[in-house]
Amino acid sequence: MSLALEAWRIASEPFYSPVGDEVALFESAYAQRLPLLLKGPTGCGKTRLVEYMAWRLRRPLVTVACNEDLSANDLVGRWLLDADGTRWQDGPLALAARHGAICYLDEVVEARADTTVVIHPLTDTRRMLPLTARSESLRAHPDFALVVSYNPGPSAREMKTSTRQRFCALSLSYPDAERESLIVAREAGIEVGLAADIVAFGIRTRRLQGHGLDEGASTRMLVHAGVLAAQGIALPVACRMALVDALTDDDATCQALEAALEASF
Amino acid sequence: MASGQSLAYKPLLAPLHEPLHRYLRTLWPQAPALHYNAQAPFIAGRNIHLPAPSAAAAMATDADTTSSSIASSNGIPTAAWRWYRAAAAHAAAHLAFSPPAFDGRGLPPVTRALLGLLEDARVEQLACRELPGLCRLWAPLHTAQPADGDGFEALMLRLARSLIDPAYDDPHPWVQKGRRLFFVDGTVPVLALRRPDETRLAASLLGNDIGQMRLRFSAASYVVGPDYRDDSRWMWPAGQAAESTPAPPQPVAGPPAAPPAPDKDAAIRPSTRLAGPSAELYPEWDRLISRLRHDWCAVFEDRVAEAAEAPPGPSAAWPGAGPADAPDAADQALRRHLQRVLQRHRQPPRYSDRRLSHDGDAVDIDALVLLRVAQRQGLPIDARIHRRAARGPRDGRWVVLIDQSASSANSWARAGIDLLQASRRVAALIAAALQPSDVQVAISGFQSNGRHHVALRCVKGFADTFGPAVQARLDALRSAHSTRLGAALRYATRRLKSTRFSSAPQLLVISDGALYDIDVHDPHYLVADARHAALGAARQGVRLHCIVLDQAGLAPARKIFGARAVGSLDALHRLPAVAARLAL
Repeated sequence: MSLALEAWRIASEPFYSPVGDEVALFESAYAQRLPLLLKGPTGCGKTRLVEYMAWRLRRPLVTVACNEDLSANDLVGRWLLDADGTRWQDGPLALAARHGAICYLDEVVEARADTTVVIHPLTDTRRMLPLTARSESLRAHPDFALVVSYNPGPSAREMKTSTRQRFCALSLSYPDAERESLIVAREAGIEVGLAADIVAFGIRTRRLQGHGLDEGASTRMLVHAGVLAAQGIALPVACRMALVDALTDDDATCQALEAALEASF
Repeated sequence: MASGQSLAYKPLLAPLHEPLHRYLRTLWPQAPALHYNAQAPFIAGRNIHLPAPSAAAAMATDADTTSSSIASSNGIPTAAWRWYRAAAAHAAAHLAFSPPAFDGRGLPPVTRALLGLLEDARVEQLACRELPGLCRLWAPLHTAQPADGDGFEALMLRLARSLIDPAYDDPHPWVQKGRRLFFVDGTVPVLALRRPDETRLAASLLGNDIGQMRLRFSAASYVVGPDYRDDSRWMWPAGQAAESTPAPPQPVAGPPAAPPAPDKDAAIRPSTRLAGPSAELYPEWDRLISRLRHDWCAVFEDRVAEAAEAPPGPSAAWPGAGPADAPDAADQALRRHLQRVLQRHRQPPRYSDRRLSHDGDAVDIDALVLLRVAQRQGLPIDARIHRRAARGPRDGRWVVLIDQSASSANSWARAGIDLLQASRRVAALIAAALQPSDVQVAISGFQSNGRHHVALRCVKGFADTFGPAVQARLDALRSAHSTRLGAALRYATRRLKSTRFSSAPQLLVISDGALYDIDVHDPHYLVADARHAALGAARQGVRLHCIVLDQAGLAPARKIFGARAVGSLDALHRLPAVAARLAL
């Protein structure tokens, strides 16, 4: 347990309601330090699962939100200037590898492919990260593990095959209506009946996947609607703000969703 | 019918269909198909037939102005949108809750009519339980009242209203009896009719009363009301409820036009050439012998003459648009969106030369040395010693190939234009979107008439600016002959060889994916040859993409270009999403 990463430890248990046996599978993969790929629609609980598992396994969690401008040096590290000259600053990936944390690359396909290949040496039996600017070959800490996530929607970029094949994958999806109502009720602090109405409308929006929407309302958006409703906002208005207007700007889809909203409440 | 006047609409099919179809999808998981070819709504199988928005001079105003109406967009009047929603939701409720058919043997026409009414009311009740807002949608469309009289049709409408509208209390004893038969308790709306035979029984009882009241009923002239409700023909599989209006076949994107019969002795047929005829010979891959046949295809390049008149086909691409291919507001928005997508360059970064900053990805050694020297001397220091990996501006060359074969005359999705027109629009949009950047775009149409004559019709050269002249040449392209894609790809690859640009050249093919030529009898030959050409182009550093306009062509296109490089387009406004996905 390295003190360097105390700030990245998860202090209290995050709430996570398992959908299937993903918790046990995650633990089995971590036991062998197999790299994990979490796939699922946006807002279905991938990040929450990683946080929960990091807490459960008592490891620090270093998260990187991947984007188009992420460079390899952003992940690995770079030289910086200080009063005495230059010093090396570890990037999040090197930090996690050095001190034995779980490194979580969120939305990994958003990063460019030439950035993502930097993780390859860490994901096979070598478990090392070459820091060429430093002429160092960093051997990963025995407790280090890599988890990545992405959202395999119709407009998602594809992952390079050589990267994909290094991972074991867990496919996550939205929970069933009953469980989702419990999650929304708990996260938003509203009663289950109200949460069930919100979830029912959310399920209607998901029927438009591929017909005007890339994805329907995520669990996260349903929680937003619940939070608004808990403030006293009328349910149709809360759903319009958190679900309809947030989901799309396409006229035809907005119209259909508005009509569905009017029909639902 | 007294209530339920039909509304006249402006031509609105495209802006109506999409929201309506999506609306139905959100209500119940099974999404029925919608058709707009009926006089009055009816259901056939899993198809809902609705009236078409007809071109009428004026909009008949709807008497109902109560309750919230969803603000209309896309030019659909609010009342029309509400009516269509009511009709479609009612029909969808039948598909969700009604049995496939009823047994009408031995039922007199009055009972049949009543059975239809009770079943309509029953499915509406069930739907309202699930979706309470539907009650607010349907109830206001019932406007019957006691003042309408006690004739058969009026009583039916009053009964229908009393079953859907909890606030309506009708004094007529027959209507009240109907209500008591329908609901378990007068006050609480719990359905008493659970099974088809119970509904039949209730209909028979009410029908008897009609007979005893000696009310005149004409089965031939009876029309189900209010007019948003379907005509119940689905209930009687063998018998006929009302005279059905023959539905004209829907124009769907059918299979491509039958190719012309193979011509054994395809001689060289010169096309209209403006420049001097010059054929380049290209090899072709024969998959059966796994060898290249050298100098096998003759490719003729010529420049297209500008169109003298507008291209054939529907003059309005879609409702609300001006003349074919003319820009309008939606077009401009699409162009801007596409521009944003294409400007997001996806090239690897390179270190720009002179840009030093306080942080970055690499340290510039010279600047660092100067810094340390200045520090030692006690002079003010410039701490910008890093270099950032910057991405250069988008440049390079693109070639866009438009499939001009005879199959491009087929219609495209629901848009009412043909594939060639759609290809022209796509090419024009892309060229216009890339105009401001340093990318040079060339557009050519291609068609073939045997291996001795593959025509590449140049519409825009690399040096040309996209403008009315290029647009006019685009409009001059016509569908004819066949698709010999391999030769076209090899031609384009040769044109793309250039050492000046840092970005990889790109080749974009817009096609329906149907490869055919008159002197080729093996169905896989041309696909294999095109694949060979595509691989050759990729080895030379060309990035290939294909936009397929017909779903049927998706599979061969994927075989040729690879799944990652192929996108299918069924509506023009989806072009930016497809472009982003293909990483153009």
